Formats: sequence, C-alpha cells, structure tokens
Amino acid sequence: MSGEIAIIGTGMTKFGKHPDLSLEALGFEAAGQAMRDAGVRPADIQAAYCASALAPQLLGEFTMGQKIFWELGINKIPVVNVENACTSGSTGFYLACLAIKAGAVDMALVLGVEKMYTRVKKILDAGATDLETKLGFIVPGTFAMRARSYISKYGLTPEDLALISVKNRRHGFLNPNAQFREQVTVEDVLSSPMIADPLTRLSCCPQGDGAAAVVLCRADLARSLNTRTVNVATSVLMSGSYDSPPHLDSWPTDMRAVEKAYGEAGIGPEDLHVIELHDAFTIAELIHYEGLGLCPAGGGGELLKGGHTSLGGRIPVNPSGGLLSRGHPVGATGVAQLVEIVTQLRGEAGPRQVPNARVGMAHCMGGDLQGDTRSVTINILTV
Amino acid sequence: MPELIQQGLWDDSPEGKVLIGSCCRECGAKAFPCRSVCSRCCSEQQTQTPMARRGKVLSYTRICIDVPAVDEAPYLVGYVLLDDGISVPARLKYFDVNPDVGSAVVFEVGVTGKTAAGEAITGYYFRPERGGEEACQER
Ligand SMILES: [Zn+2]
Repeated sequence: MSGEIAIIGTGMTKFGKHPDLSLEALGFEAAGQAMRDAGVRPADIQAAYCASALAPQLLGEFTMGQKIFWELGINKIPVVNVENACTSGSTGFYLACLAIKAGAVDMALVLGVEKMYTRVKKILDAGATDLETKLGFIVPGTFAMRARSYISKYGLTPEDLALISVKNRRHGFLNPNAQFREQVTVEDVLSSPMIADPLTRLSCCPQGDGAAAVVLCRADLARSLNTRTVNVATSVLMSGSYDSPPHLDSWPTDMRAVEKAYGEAGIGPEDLHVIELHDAFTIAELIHYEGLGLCPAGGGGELLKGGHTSLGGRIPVNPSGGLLSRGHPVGATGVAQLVEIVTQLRGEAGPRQVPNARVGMAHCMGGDLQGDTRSVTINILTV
Repeated sequence: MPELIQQGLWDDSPEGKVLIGSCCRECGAKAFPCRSVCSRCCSEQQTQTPMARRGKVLSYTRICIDVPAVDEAPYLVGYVLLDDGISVPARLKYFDVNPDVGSAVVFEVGVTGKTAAGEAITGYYFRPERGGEEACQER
C-alpha cells in the first residue's frame, strides 16, 4: 500500500459533553472540517464511511452515515455504516484504503462519531448474551484482571500503573480538543473511587461525545491537490484467535497485526517517531508497548518510568492525551487517533508537537474475548 | 424454579456438579463453553466432557460499582485455570480476604445474579478450596 494512498484533510470536534449537539451535528462538524481542510467538494467524494459503535444501542439510530453525508451534499455514492467496537472508526479507514487500493474510487471520506452522554445509562459490557456479561463481567473488570496478572508477574505496583494516567493527562493538558485538560498526580489517580480493583476511576477513560473525520485519496491526486499530504504506509485490520490461553498478560492479535504492518511498511518499531495507541485503561497502554515491539516482555514499566514514552522522550506515546485524557467517544476514537498522527506529521501540533516527526502509528483495539482482543487496527503514516 | 444463567454449562457427576466442555476427537482441543466446531482444526467431531472441578485463580478483580444484573456489591469475578488446562470466566464467592493469583478453588453451582424483575438466576462460581466449604454449606 506504501505510497498509493494519502490523507489530505482532517477534522474533529472537541471531545467531551455536548448536550446541545446531536449525533448528526457532531458528525456534520467534523466531516465538514475535513473537507474544507482538504479543499475538496462534495462531488469529489466517491465513497464514504460512517463509524459508530453505540448509536443503535444508545440512541436507537441507524444508517447515520447517509443522514450526515446527505447534509453535506454527499449523495448517490456508496455509503457504509461501520461497527467494530473501539476499532469502528479505524475499520472505516481500512475499508476506505481497500476501496482506493482496488481502484474502485479515487477519494473517500471517513467519519467516526459517537454520542454517549444520553438518557440511557448503560455500563459497557462485552455484549448482552455473552457468558462473561451474564456472570457479572464488565469492561473495566476485564482490564483489571489483566492489570493484576501483569503487575504481579512483573513486579510492578498500582503506583507504576497510575503513571500512565499522569503522563496522558499531562499530554491532554496541551490538546485543546481533549475532554480532560486538568493534570493529575499519582495520589489523585490512586485515591479516586475504585471501579474494579486495582483500576480506579482515573485509571479508566471517560465516556464522551465527539466526532473525527479524514479525507483520503490516491497519492498521485494528492500531489496535484497540493495540500499538506500525509502518506498511508499501511493499514491493517485483524481479528483474534479466542483459544483462552492460560495467561492474561498480552493480546496475541497485537503481535500478529503489528508484524504484518511492519512488514508491509518496511519498517520496525525503532523507526517510529510518534504513536497513538488504545489506552482505554492504564494497563492497556503498558501491554500494548510490548505488543507493538517497543520493549521486550515485561519491559513496559521501565519504558514508562524512564520517561521514554512521554513528550520529549525517545518515542512519545499518546501525545493527544490518549483515550484517558482526549476521551473515548467509541466510534470516533479510531479516526481521532489518525487525526492526531496527521497533525503531528504535518508539524501542526503546537505545544505537544513531537519534533521532526516523520513516521507515526495509530493503534486501536476493540473488545476482549476468550483471552484475546476481538479486533486490532494498525495504521502507519509517513511524510 | 430459579432461572438458569445459560443452558448446558454444567452437569451432575459422582463428585458433584461439574462444568461441561467440548473435546475435539480429531485434535484433542478442549473448549468451554462447548463448541460444535473445533476452533483449532475445524472438525465437527466434538464430544462433551466434564471439566476439572478444581483449579487455580489466574486473575481476579473486585467490581466495586453497582451492576444491575448482579445480586451483590462489591463482588469478585475472575478467570480460573482448571486443572485440565482450560481457563474459564467465573464468579468467585465466599472469600473472606482477597485471593492470591494461584489460589486453589473449587467449582459450585448457585445464585449469581438477578433478573430485571429481581428473581434469582442460578449460575456458577468458584470458592476457596480450604475454608470456604463450611461457610458455603451454612448458607
Ligand atoms: Zn480439533
């Protein structure tokens, strides 16, 4: 895929509580921004993807893409609505890349949008009919069990885990689109209410409303459009294996997906300058460090405590603030990560800019099932 | 009759109730809950087999928020690595103190939740191998 596809426009709303904005309004704002940023017209978009993980459940809505894109003057083209848990948005991007790579379309729009602050109060679970859900498992609980396994195996402490929240809040403080812009201390994280031991409230990402969008096209067209182009080196989507391994300290699909991504992009982890990854809970970021090959098994604690993944460190992770600070409107997250990497590679990230960033990765993970993740996406972008 | 959490998860055995898993006749892969097709070799030749009643806590957490489908708060959930090598999701009950990773546990059937109407749902849980037995029988 290297060199065939380019991102030419991005847009996103601030993440947070938007009581006065509907799902359509959020999507309209982000998608419109992305098209203006790309300098394209509605008629230029030949396929469009709208990702939302929870709209049918929380809002009773469906085929949101058609409603939102129609408002933007985009019609009479293939529109696909995408649900793939937390990877919904990045799965939409993957599908758009496939369509361009196949030569079916020259230019596509990908929108991720979610509205979670609704009258329906719902605790996120693995799906109503899952045995785990019926036994009382909830999403933070599943990650808490991984946290206990990981920290007991590698001799870390809850204080070490809390440093992930502290770092990502410090980054989010610099991001005007982040939901949380207040910094926190290790003590704040540990003294916030316990959700699922050892994960406290400040160890978990918040719910949120928000939208993010990108316009992508054939790379040769991008050059003639003369915008601030970012190349897509590879886009990978992979499901899990679900064979209930007798350990909980990795997601095997991380390794499989990243191996394919590095192979296709012709790079290794040492070539990355900036990463956005799926820190839905503090522990997830540590486990993904290993999954992406940033450190050997058990080395996540050292990488974190040494400041190597902070802004200013060797390989900054989640400069946007990540899910923990930027927020996690589920369907929008995968696209928001891409928007952050594009912003970094364009050199437009302001106070949170990673100097001279030329190669970036967006990693997203959707759900946990029988010891593996349901879905992983890896997108590597370059300039 | 209280409602069952799910049909076919356990059965009677001489030792008491046991979880029922599937075992592949072609490659020997075990799974819980039962599968009709092997996830390793795709064979449809699956037999139902009783799983080990004993195992070790692989990991666990104490859920500290109210969950509507559960009859108590806070409560413990965990993954138990059964002595025959399969890990299963489970509730953990009758622990006076938090278990350690690796604690020995035993399978039991009992109330684990409630319906929207507040009626008991019978599910399964693991209790401590030592110490929990008497407490369990008193109840
Ligand atoms: Zn088999």
